[in-house]
Amino acid sequence: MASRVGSAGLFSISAPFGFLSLAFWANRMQTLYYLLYLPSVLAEPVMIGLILLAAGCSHLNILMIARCFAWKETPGGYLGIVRTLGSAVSFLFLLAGLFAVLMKGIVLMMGYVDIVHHILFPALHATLFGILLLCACVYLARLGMEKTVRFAIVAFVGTIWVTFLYVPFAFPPAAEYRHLLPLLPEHMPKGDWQTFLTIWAAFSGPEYMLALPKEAVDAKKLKTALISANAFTAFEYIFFFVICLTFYGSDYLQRQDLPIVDLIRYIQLPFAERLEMILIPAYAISVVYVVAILLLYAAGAIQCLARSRLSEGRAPFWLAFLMMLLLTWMAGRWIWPDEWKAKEWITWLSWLDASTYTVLPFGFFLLGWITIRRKWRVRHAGGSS
Amino acid sequence: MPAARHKPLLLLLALLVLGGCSFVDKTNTIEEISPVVLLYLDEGNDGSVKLSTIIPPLKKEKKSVITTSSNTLIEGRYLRNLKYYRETKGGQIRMIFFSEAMANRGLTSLLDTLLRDPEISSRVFLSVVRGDMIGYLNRQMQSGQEEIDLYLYKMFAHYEKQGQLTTSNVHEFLARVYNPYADPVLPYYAVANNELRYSGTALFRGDKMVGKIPLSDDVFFQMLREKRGVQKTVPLSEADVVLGSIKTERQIHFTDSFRNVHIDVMLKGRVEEVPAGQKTDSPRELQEFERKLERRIQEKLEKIIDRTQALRVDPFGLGMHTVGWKERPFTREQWNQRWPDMDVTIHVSLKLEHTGMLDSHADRR
Repeated sequence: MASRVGSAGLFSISAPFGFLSLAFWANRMQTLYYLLYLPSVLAEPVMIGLILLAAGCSHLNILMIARCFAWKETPGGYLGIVRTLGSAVSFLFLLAGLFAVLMKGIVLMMGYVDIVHHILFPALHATLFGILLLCACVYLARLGMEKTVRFAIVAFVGTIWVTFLYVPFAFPPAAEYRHLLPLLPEHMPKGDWQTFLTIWAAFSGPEYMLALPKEAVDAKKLKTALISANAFTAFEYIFFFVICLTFYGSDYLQRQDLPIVDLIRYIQLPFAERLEMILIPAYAISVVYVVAILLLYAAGAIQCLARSRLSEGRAPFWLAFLMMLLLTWMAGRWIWPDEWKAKEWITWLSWLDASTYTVLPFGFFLLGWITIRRKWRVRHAGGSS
Repeated sequence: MPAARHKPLLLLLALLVLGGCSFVDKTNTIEEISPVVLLYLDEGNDGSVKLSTIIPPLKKEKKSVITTSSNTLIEGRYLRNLKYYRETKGGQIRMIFFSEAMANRGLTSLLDTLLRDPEISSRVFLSVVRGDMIGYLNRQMQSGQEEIDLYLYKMFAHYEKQGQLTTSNVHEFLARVYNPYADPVLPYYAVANNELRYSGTALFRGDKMVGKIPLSDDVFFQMLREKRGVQKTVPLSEADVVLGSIKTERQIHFTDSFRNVHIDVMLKGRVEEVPAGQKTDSPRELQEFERKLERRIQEKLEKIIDRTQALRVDPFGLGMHTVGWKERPFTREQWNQRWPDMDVTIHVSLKLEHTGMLDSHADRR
């Protein structure tokens, strides 16, 4: 993404992002969709260990991401990529990135739309709702990268209160703690690598920060923000998983599509029922936030891809919006009406997220390290001659 | 951004929202729908499902029970809508009664069908009923108890809150059906003399009813079912004694080989009624009295355990206590085989409180 600190463009940033913006951004990116269905994928109590393992691996990735921003010798953002990879490879990289952000945005949005359609408004046309949601994303994203990223605080505060509604499920009689046993694995179950893939994908999201210009982040602040976000994400996953497991039991939990949503439907207060009517719309704030960021990333990729043909004004942004609009319509027409196809796309999203979170932090760290080593050699060779 | 620049966006949103009406493929106009509160499912003569409900609920019109007979639940709902001028909706279903024949047939497929409707909550109360339920509902409405569905719901909610009788909802039932180490239970009601009365607990193996605990033993069944509880009245008719406000606590221990299970039931409470001439003047007499009652309660509990073992059901979830930190010693099938042959040792300890009151009354006698 182009770095033009202080200018008035879509990606201009007047001051580095604060700790809260960065931490909440990372946390919302990580938990947005996976939180809803992860418990039914995990199902077995031993998976608590696997969540902790994934959180530990994610911590290593975060250290690599923070390191990339700490190196003064390597240029960050788009320029850094071009200088390191060369323009041809950068072109392919950006093309793949555009595909990835569009796909992630569409699957997240349509996944959420599907929940709304299934539980809240079965009478409403799902595609129409998807398009309305996209309009809300555009409304936010048009304010530019800086304001959109800072919206993380609103997105976090607007959704985190929901967690408190689940606290009564942590205690008997709703919770049967014996469902948490056995905590140690008896044997190596088959197909566990797929579960780990999903958990690993559930920690993805911070890698998108690698595209930020170096001026936009303070490396030290970024490191603490990402570490805090990662720890909180792990806590959220474990908290919701334990609650679902003690409430449903392992065998019943596997049969739930969206255990978190079904749990809230179980709450019956003397003055209110169907609390999902409040909870599910609250999630829209996070969905709009994450999709708006992805929309800006798509706009940035288009701008970089077509640098000579498109001005740096709003054209790439509206082009990204049109692409997303078209894809939303296509997904609503051909993919989401078929439950199996929708599930396939969600699986592909897991693959995509797991891949980006594995490759990007390590790849950027490696490239940075190679660049520094090269510079050091050149300097060393110059000094010795 | 100047206000004029918002106009296209606002126009677009307005068009989408206003145009939204044309995309709606079904409506929920309040005048056109009729939410259902109670369902009664019975088996038809040809194996079909007889689906009955009270219409119109929550409206001040003359009420009646409407019944349809079909092979599937959804078909029954469809046929019901053909008989009635409003579309019945399931969003307000609070109770489902199953006839004994229906419960013997198995409930999972029926409940799965109901839960496919996102409007239906998993908090819906379930129960098994014996007798002419439709006749009971009709008679109640004819005798002026028009809001019988709401009355029954309040009764169920009260029982759930009190925690002394068996209550169960869709979630609790299905969670037990899918639990490898526990079997579900439902409250068992009977219609007799124009009354719907709690008559014990229906026992299920998987999702099929296989037996019941009669009302006379139900209070002792509750002592074994819950880890902690309170029973306001515990009648021991063989000893002419009624205990009251009894706090119960149950502990389960398996031997290392899982051949034996020890169930300790600790009871603490008051004596509400004693036979004339019962001596509790000295601590020794009181202790003897307590041991005598303990033996009576133990016999009752052993009878219940024997019954559940004979029916090969584990309504207490004892199997869950076999699972340790490191391993599950039994699979679902292994536990189902082991439980009926397991040696069960029950130990009851009773501690009577406020016995001074008992003595003073005994003195007067």
